[in-house]
Amino acid sequence: MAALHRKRITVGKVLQYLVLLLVFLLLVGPFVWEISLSLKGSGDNVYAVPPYLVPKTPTLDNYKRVFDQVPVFHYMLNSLIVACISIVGNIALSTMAGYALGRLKWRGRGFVFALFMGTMVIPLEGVMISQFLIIKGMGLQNTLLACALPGLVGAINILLMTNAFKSIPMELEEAAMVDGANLWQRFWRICVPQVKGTMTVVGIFAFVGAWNDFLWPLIAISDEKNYTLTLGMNRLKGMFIQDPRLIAAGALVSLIPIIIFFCCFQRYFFRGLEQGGLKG
Amino acid sequence: MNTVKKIVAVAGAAAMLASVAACGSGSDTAGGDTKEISFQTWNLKNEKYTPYFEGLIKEYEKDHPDVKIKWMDQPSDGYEDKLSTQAASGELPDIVDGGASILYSLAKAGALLNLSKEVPDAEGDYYEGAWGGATMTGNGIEEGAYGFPWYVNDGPTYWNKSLMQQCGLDPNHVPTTWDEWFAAGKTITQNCDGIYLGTTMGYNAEDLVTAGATFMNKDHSKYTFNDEAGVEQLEKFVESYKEGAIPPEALDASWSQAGDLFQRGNLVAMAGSAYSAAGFKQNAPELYKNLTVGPRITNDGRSASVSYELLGISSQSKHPDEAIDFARFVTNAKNQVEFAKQASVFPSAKGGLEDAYYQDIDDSTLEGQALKITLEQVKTGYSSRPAEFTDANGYKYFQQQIALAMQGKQTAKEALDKTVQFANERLSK
Repeated sequence: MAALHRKRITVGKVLQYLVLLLVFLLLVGPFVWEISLSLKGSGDNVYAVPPYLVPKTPTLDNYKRVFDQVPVFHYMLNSLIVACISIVGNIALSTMAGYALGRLKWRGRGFVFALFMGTMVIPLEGVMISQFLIIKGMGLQNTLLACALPGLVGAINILLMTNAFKSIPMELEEAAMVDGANLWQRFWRICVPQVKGTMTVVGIFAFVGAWNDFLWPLIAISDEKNYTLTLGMNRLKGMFIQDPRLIAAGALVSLIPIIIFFCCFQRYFFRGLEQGGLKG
Repeated sequence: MNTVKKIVAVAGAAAMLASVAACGSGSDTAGGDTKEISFQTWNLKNEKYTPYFEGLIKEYEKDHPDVKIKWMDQPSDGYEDKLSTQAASGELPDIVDGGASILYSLAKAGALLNLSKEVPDAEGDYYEGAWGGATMTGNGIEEGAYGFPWYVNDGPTYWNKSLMQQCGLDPNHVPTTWDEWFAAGKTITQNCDGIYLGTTMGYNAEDLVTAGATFMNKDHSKYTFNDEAGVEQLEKFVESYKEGAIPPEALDASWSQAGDLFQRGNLVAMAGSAYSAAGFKQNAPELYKNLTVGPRITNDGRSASVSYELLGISSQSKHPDEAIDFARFVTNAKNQVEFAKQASVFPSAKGGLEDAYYQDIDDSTLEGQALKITLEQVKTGYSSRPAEFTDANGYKYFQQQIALAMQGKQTAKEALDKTVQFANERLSK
C-alpha cells in the first residue's frame, strides 16, 4: 500500500498540479469575481475587505438593467454580421495568401511576405484617420461593412496559414502532379484538407477579434442603430457615477456568444494548434 | 502565371461576396426645408439623462419648427479619437460637447467657431469664471471663447472618519490648508501602518496653484509652474511620499484606482466630485456611513479645481446661427439648473446658482454636505489647468517626472524644470 503510494505521488507530480492549480486560479479567478460582482445587489459592499464571493443581497437586477439600457440582441446581431464577414474573409483570403506564400515559388515572394508582416506593427491610431477617409471615399461610413473591411484579412492569419501549408510534405503535391492535377486542384483537393484545423483557428481568431474590437467600430460608425455590442456596452459606464456591478453584468452578457462559439469549435481549435505549431 | 491570376480573381470574388453579404444601411437622408443640427454629447444617453435631453429637444423644436435636432451621443471611451477623425473628415457635428482641453485641440485645428467674435453678447449670459474657462488664447489661436460654458464640476475632499480616529486625527477638524494636510500625513504615518493620507502628489495644476504657484503667464506663451512656490510645494509632496503618506502604486501614470483604494479603506482622504457621495453610497455602503467632507485643500480658500464642460460649434456647420441658438438654449440658466440637479453638477449660466434649489440645501446627508461645500467652491473658484496642458502635451510627462522625483532619482526642481521645458516646446507646435 505504502509502496504503491510512493510510486504514484512524486514531487514532480505535486509541483505539476500546483502549477496547474495556480494557472487555473489566475485565469478563472477574475471570471468568477465578475460573475459574483454582477449578482451583487445594492446592499453589497463592492469594495469590502476581505472581498467575498457570495453576494449578500443576490439579484438579477443588474442583468435586467443591461437589457433595459442596451438593445442587446440588436447589437449582438450587428456584431455577429461583422464577425461573420470577418470570418469568411479571413479564412478565404488568408488560406489563399498562405498557399501562395508557403508553397508557390514566384519572384518577390519574400518581399510580399515581409510587407504583410510589416502591417502587424502599425497601430490603428496611426492610420485611423486615413483609413476612415478611404472608407468615407467609398461611401461606406456608418455601415457594418465599414466595420469589417479593414479586418478582412489579418497578417497574423496569413502567417499561420503560410506555416501550415509549408508543413505539408512536398511529395503529396508531387504525387498529385504526376496524376495530372493542376494548381487549383492541388490547392483545393490536396492541400486545403490538410490545413482545415489551422483554418478553424483563423476563423476563431477572426471572430474574437471582430467581436471585441472597439476603437475602429467607434470611428467608423456614428449611427446608434449600427452599433456593435462593444460600443453599446460601453454606454453602461456612467459619465458621473460608475456602477461596477452593471459593467460586470454587461461584460458577461457580451461574453456568452464567445463562449458558445468556442465550445462548438473547441476540438478543432486544439487540433489546429497542433497542426500549426508542432509539425512545422 | 495564369493560375496566380485565377487566385487573385477568386480572392476578389470572395471579397465581393463578403461585401454583398453585409447588410449595410443607407446614409442619412437630407431633410427638405428643415435645417438639421447635429448635437453630440459625451456619454449622456442612458436611463438617467435621456428623458432630459429628449424633453429639451422637443421643447426647442416646438418653438423652432424649421429646425430639427439630431442628438448623437458618443460612448465613454475613445472620445478624443472619435472627435479628431470627425474633424479631419469634415464630419464634426454642429455642436460638440467636451472639456476645455478636448475643445482646445479642435480649436487649434480651426474646427471650432470663435464665439466671442460670432456672438459677442453671449459673454454676459455666463459667470465670468466660466466664460474665462472657455476662453483660449496664444500659439496660433485667435483669442476668444471656443465653447459655450455648460455644466461645471468640482467637489469636496472626502475624509474617512474612522481611519482619522484610528490614526490620531480629529474627525471634527479636517485639514483645509496645505500645512495642515502635510502635518496630517505625518501623524498618519506615525500611528498607522498600511494606511495612506491620499494620492494627491502635485501633478494636477491645482495642487501647485493653490499653494501659490503660477501655472502659466498671462498671454499663455510660457509655463511658469517651476517658480519658487511650485518647487517648495513639490518638495513637500516628495517628503510626504518618503514618510509613507502616499501609496507607491499612485506613482504609475496609468494608475487610476485612487477611488478603489479609498473605498477599500486604505486612504484617509480623497479629492472627489460632489456626485461621488452617491457613488460611495451605492458601492461602499459601510464606508459611506464613516465619511465626512471638507473643502479642497488650498492656502487662499479658493478652489482651483473647478472644471467646465463646454459646447463647441463646428466651423464647418451649414447652419451656424441655428447651432449657436440651440447651444445657447441648452446652456441657459433654466435648462442648466435642471440638468445640474439631476447630475449633482453646477450651472455656469448667470443666475443659475441663485436658483432656489441652491439656497436651501438639505445638509443632513453626505450628498447634501458635499453639494453645499462644492457650491461655495464653484462660486469663488476657478480652473487652474490651462486647456493647452493636455495629456499628450504635458500632463502625462509631468506625472512621470514627478514619479522620478518621488523615488529620489531627481530633485523636485529638476522635475518641474524638465516639465516646463517639455510643455513649452509643445506649445509652439
